Amino acid sequence: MAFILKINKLLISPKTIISLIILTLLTCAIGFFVPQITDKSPSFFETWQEQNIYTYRFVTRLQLHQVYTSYWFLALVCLIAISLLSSIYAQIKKNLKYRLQCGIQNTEYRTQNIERIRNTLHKKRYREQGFTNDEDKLIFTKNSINRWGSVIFHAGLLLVVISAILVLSFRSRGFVQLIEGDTFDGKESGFIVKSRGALAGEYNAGFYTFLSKLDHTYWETGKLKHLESSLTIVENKEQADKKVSINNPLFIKGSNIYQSDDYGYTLSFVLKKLTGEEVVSHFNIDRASNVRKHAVGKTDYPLSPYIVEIKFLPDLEKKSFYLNKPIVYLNVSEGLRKVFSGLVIPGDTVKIKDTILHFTGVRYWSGLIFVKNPGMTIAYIGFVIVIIGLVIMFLLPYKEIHLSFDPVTKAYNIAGKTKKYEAIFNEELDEIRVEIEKEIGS
Amino acid sequence: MDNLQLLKYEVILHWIAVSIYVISTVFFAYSVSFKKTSPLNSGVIAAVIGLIPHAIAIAIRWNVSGHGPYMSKYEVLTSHSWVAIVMFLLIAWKIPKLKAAGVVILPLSFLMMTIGLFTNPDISLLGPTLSGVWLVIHVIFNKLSAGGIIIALASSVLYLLKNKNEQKEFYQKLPSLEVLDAYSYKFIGFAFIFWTITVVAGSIWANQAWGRYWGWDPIETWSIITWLLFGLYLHLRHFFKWKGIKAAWLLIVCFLSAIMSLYFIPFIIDTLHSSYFM
Repeated sequence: MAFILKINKLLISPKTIISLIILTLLTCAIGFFVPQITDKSPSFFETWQEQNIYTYRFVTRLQLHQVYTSYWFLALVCLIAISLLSSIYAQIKKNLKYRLQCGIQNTEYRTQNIERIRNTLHKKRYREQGFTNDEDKLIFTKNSINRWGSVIFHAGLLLVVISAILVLSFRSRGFVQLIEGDTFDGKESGFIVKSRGALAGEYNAGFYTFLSKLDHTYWETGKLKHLESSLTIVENKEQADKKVSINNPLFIKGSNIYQSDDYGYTLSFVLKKLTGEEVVSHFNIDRASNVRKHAVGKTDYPLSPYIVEIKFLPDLEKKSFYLNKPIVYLNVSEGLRKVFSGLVIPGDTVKIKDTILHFTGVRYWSGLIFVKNPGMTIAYIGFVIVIIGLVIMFLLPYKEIHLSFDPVTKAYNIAGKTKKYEAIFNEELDEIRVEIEKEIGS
Repeated sequence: MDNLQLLKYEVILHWIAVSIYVISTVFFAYSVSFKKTSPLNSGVIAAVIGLIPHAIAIAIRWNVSGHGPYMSKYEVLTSHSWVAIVMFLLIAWKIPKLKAAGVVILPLSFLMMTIGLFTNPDISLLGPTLSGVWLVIHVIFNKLSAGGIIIALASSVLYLLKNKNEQKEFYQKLPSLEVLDAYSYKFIGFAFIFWTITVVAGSIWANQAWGRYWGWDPIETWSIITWLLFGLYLHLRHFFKWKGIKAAWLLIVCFLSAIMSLYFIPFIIDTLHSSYFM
């Protein structure tokens, strides 16, 4: 028990708190200055390793190239959480014990002047607390809630830290390219890119998502203005039509569906072999960065020896991103040898050696992000509590005014104390004294 | 009147505002350098006058572009300086002894505006992520926190100046060293709240747009570095009773970090935010 108390005392000591803040600051600085695996390609790290093996080893062994998912950063976050918890507990204990040593009523003080002073202070939102136990001073206080500000702020911060740990542990997230007219079964195997927290199970939305339409609009300059997917959510023979657009996610059955700004075109082909076998293939290519450029793609044609290279224009006539007059410049090669090169439009059929390639059509695909994030509600609650705590801490400083009366000199004495902005409070006290002097004329 | 004509007037009005702020700065600088109090009022009056063409210029641009002033260096810098000057004037009105803080706020503001005026003034069109109430909250509190930090810096600079020249008559007319120090603390308290709301609103907005509330983007990293520095400043004041010169210098470090987060990082490094500022 004594050991736990000692640890607790250490965790809430000012030096520990300052050290934790500085360590977090240093971590962020490392994350900014040392190249991170999330920002750089694997080839960057391979080159680095070749050029400076010792620095690379140092960085990788300390996980400085992945600070925010490193074990030591996780340990630091846990330490911060424990320190916050200990600090909150200590402050609550202190606040509950705190009693203003006053409350006695003294009728001798019910003079006309005292009433005037009282009114002046009431107008300034000071609350009368009664006399001190030695009946010497009348106490007025303002913003008594202030002593809870720090507790509230740190409790909110603790919730945000807990939510971050939950997110790191249990969040699952994946990106899917859903083609118009196709359905995503909601399972992780359908994701092109995915990430999963250390303790998260395999993602399963528990419903099917059908993309009926992708709407996209642009500014005059060709910059994307709005992107919206019309979806049908199907679960247990029940279906509901929903829309999801950038900045307007869809929350459904524990999953969030986000509209990514990635989208493009799906070009469908059928390759007929001499044997009569048909190989259907859909090539997803990204939208070009501007209307004058081709959307490009290069891939192996499945179950064939061919490599297909595509240059695609969605609207040959008006040069827009809409599928008005789509046309493809198609290059097919077998190994290094080119076997076909030419322009094709939807419905065209071309003969390539002993096979026939049929360009069946073009549709849009929409990039959708599916996320299960159990920590978000806690984070949002934490955010609100943090702000409430800060407002109480810094905008509502605790103030105490002590009023005493000297029966011999018949003089009133006004003193006060505060824990924040003391010098400003002293100026306020001077103003109060002047105001009261005017009121009572002494 | 067509939009092109309106934008021409907008640039002219901006330059008029810059000129008036320069005059205001001259009054403040003269007052502080030659230890005279009377030019302070002239400096404040000039700042109030400058605010009018400045506000009209921002309003014209807002009307023409169809969105608030947050989409390019030009818009960000001019609106930040407008908010900082408005906040300064409100403080100068409520606490007349702090008028001398104009010697820091006015030159910083007109410099920000001038840098903005030399960048590309083309109107940027809003991308699909730039919508919603969280964007509005994020942007408003970002500007307020920038203003709050500039004013806190001004209090600290006045503190350091007064500390060096306490015996001189002009500095005796400023609030006492203790009061200046307390105002720095108070304004940093304000700025800390605004900065927190900016970060929180940005996180919620990021979660709405991208499905994650924190991504360690360079701007996000620098905003948390600045937030932690503010936290360090406030804890050092609370626990170790840091005040005076030490606190003033730490506040200047906080200010530099805020400048890095607000201006340098989005303008020089390719981040999620830079696409809005470039």
